[in-house]
Amino acid sequence: MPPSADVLQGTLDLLVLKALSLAPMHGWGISQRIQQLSADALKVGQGSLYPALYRLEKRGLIKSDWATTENNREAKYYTLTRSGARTLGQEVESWRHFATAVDRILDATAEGLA
Amino acid sequence: MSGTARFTLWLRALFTRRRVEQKMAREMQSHIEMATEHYVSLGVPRDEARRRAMAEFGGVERYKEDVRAERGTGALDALLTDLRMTIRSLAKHRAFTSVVVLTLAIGIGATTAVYSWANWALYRPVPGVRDPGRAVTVDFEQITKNGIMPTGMSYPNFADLAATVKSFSGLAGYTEAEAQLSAPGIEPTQLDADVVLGDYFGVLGTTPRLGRAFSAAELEPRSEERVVVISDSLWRAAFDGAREVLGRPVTVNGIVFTVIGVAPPGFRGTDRTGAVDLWFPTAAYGVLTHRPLDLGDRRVNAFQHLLGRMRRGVTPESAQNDVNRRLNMLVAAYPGINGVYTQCHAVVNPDLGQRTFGRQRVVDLVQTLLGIVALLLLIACANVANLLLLRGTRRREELAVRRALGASATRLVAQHLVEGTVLAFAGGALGLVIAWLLARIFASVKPEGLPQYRHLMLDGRVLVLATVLCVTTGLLCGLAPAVAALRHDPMRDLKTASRNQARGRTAGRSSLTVIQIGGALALVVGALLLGRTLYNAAQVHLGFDAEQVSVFWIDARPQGYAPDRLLALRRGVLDRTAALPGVQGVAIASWLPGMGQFINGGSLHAAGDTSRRGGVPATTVTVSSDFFRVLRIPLRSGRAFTAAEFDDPAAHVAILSAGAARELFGSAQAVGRQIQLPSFGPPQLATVVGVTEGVRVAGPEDPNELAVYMPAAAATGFMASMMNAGFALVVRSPRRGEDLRRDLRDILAREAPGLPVPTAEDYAAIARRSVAAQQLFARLVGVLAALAAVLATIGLYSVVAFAVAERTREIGIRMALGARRTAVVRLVARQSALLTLAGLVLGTAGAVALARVLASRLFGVTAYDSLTYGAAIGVWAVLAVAASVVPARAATRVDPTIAMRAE
Repeated sequence: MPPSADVLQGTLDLLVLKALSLAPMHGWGISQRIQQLSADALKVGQGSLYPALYRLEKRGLIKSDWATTENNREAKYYTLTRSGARTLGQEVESWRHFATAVDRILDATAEGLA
Repeated sequence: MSGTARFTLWLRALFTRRRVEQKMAREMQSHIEMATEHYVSLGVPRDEARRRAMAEFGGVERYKEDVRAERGTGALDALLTDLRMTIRSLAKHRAFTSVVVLTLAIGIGATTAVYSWANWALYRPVPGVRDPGRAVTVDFEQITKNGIMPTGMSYPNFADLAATVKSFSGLAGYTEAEAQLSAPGIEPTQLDADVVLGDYFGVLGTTPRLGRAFSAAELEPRSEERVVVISDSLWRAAFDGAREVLGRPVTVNGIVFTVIGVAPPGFRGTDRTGAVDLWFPTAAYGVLTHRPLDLGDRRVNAFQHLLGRMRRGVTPESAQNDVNRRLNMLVAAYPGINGVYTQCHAVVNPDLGQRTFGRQRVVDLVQTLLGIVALLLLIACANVANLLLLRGTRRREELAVRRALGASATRLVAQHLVEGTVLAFAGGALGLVIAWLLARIFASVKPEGLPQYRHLMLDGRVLVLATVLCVTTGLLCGLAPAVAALRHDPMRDLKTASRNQARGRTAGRSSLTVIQIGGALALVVGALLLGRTLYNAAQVHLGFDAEQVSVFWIDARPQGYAPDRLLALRRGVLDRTAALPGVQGVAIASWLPGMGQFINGGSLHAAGDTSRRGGVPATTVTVSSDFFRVLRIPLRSGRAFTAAEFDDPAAHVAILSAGAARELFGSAQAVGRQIQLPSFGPPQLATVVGVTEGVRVAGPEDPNELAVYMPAAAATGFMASMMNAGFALVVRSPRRGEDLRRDLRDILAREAPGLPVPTAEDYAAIARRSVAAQQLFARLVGVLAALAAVLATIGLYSVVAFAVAERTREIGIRMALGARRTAVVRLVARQSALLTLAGLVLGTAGAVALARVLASRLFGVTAYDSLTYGAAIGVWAVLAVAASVVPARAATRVDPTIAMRAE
């Protein structure tokens, strides 16, 4: 298995919302999708995934329904709500902002400060 | 999401818990299955795929809990789960559970019973009173150099006060009277009565269940109406609860009254400790006491207690100020008559049922008892905590597994606390049964001056206490094992799965055992001190022979007989009783040895001796001629009274006790000397005709034996009415009780119709009455001490036994290496000895504290009696050896090979 980092605290909600914005999905699917989208760089620990799902559902950002998978298996599917889609937009915006800021700092050189 | 919506979700989550829980499990299950499929599709064998999926998922239980926490019902869920687990596990370990529950039940039950009794004696609401929150007592207290004296009220002062005070919607009052009731077909009965002032029933809001209360005309101070209201219990007992009681004539103290009403059930006057059966209107007071009182006279302060109903919104403080202002106005209006009130102030007490007099004694008793039961409860708690700790050690592996599976530390602590609380509530439930049983024991004894307790009274106050006790004991018991559980490293427990590194962790259990031994020692010392007090008291020679002597208290005071009529009654009863079959001797006395000091009219002087300032404080007694013979009090010199002196008012003779003679005349001969008798009136001289051996005047514990005896007729005026109207008939006979009483009834029916026939009392019991109360108290402390000792012994045994069990392997190795049995026993005994020693040190300190509380109850032994302490410590040393012998012997029987293999 490729070495992978646990998802940074606080960004998990964002990643889950993003993953669900592509298609409704069950828990395992979400973790797989995040791992896949990050090219195995990120791995979602189940220990944080399920609490996060319940947290988001409680905040009304996602909703859930039981459905049958393609393998004829019962699974709980999560869907993004409208409020969730809106929140995702905001969160993405603020993450980009944050990431750019961090990048700038990390790219800084001694000459640049002179 | 809005707040309400969130709350709805939370509620739904709570109520659909089981379904949600299943779904959660299913979701996680499906996750693991999908992951398994994934690995299988990558070519991993199914078993390995599943293992990998599960390892990747991690501790299912912990994630479930995280999710529960997110859902917001986590805490409650956890609690319910803990509750179920606890009950299941307790039901499985029946022996353990029953010991713990029983222990707690004893502690909680005893505390609840004592508290319930105290609550009943001190705070019980007065039955039959409407809106008792606004009903108050108003007392007038006069501050004198001898302390606070209650002061009465006259009718006119009361009427003025009632008309002017604004804080009260009504003011009333009463004063106590003794009443002897008789009616055709009813045996004469001695009853408590209240003579009321103003609209007593109206102010209390007490409506008669039958008939009516007094009319305004009947309540006039000079009314000639002779009417009475009777209690519900008297109505049932004497009149069979018949409606026809209304209008019936009854004779009270020789006067005929008409029954006009029956008070509501339960109403026995306003004093919580009272049992009033008859209520009379104001004017009846003079009639009942046979005194020519004009109750309309402002000077006749006949009424001791005022009651008021405060208007709405009035506080007791402002009502009190109001009454005091009006009182000052009364003083100003009648300075001569009401001068007494200048040193007086009114006190408004918001508790209607509380008479301050006699209350302190109850409070003292209650505090001592509560202190003792609290100590017992503490010992019980320590014992239970100990047992839980032991069990905790046995369950260490289970706990380790749960922690390894991801259960949080808080959860484990919570589980212990829940377990403690469940046990405490089970103990509390059983404790109520024990409290009920104890209450029946309380009810079977009637402490003097205290009301008759009937059954366990569970009101809000007691239930709150019982609940608080359960929760507190539960937490106390659960805390120690919870902390112990927290300190464990689950990994080490799992790896070794052994119990042999338990040393160093027994500190908690040890300190609990020390507390138990200490508490039990303190109680044992207390019980031994009380026991020795009883023994000492029993050894004292009282100076008279009370065996086979019956006493009848004939109280003719309420009948208001003239002196010659009284003399005839005494003579008649004496002669007729003496003639009864089986009677060996009869005497009459105004007082009996052992009843306590009775000083009337000041102290005793040698005639003409003015040098002695205080005189001799001798108990003054009038007796018939046979008194000394019947009670077998030996004469030291001189003679007893003659039969003729008994009814001769001119016989100025007296007999002194040896102590009184010595005080008055030193070693000189007392017989033939003149003494000045205690008297309210003019000085009264008498010639000493005899000196008797001393008798213990106030019971075995008091060395006082100062007494002066005179013939009944010698007491004149007020003293005669005080001393002779009520007298003791002392009968020496093998015939006892009801047998003798039947004969006395016939005699009294002839000599004094309408006089209640007293019950026969055993003089031996009266003489040691002060000891009887002690006996009850000592027995109670003894039982508690025994319980505490048993609990502490179990505690010590379990700690030592468990330590041995934990060290089986070590002992096995030692023995395999050739250690001798004695060495092993010494190893075990050392631990036991250390614990006992620490407990005894703590216990001695506790015992000293307890003994200081008990000091006033001790006789012939000090609170620091070294013999008693030594004995108690000795007893404990024996118990400690007993508690460690069994485990020590078990240790020596350890078979090394088995011990080694056991791990």
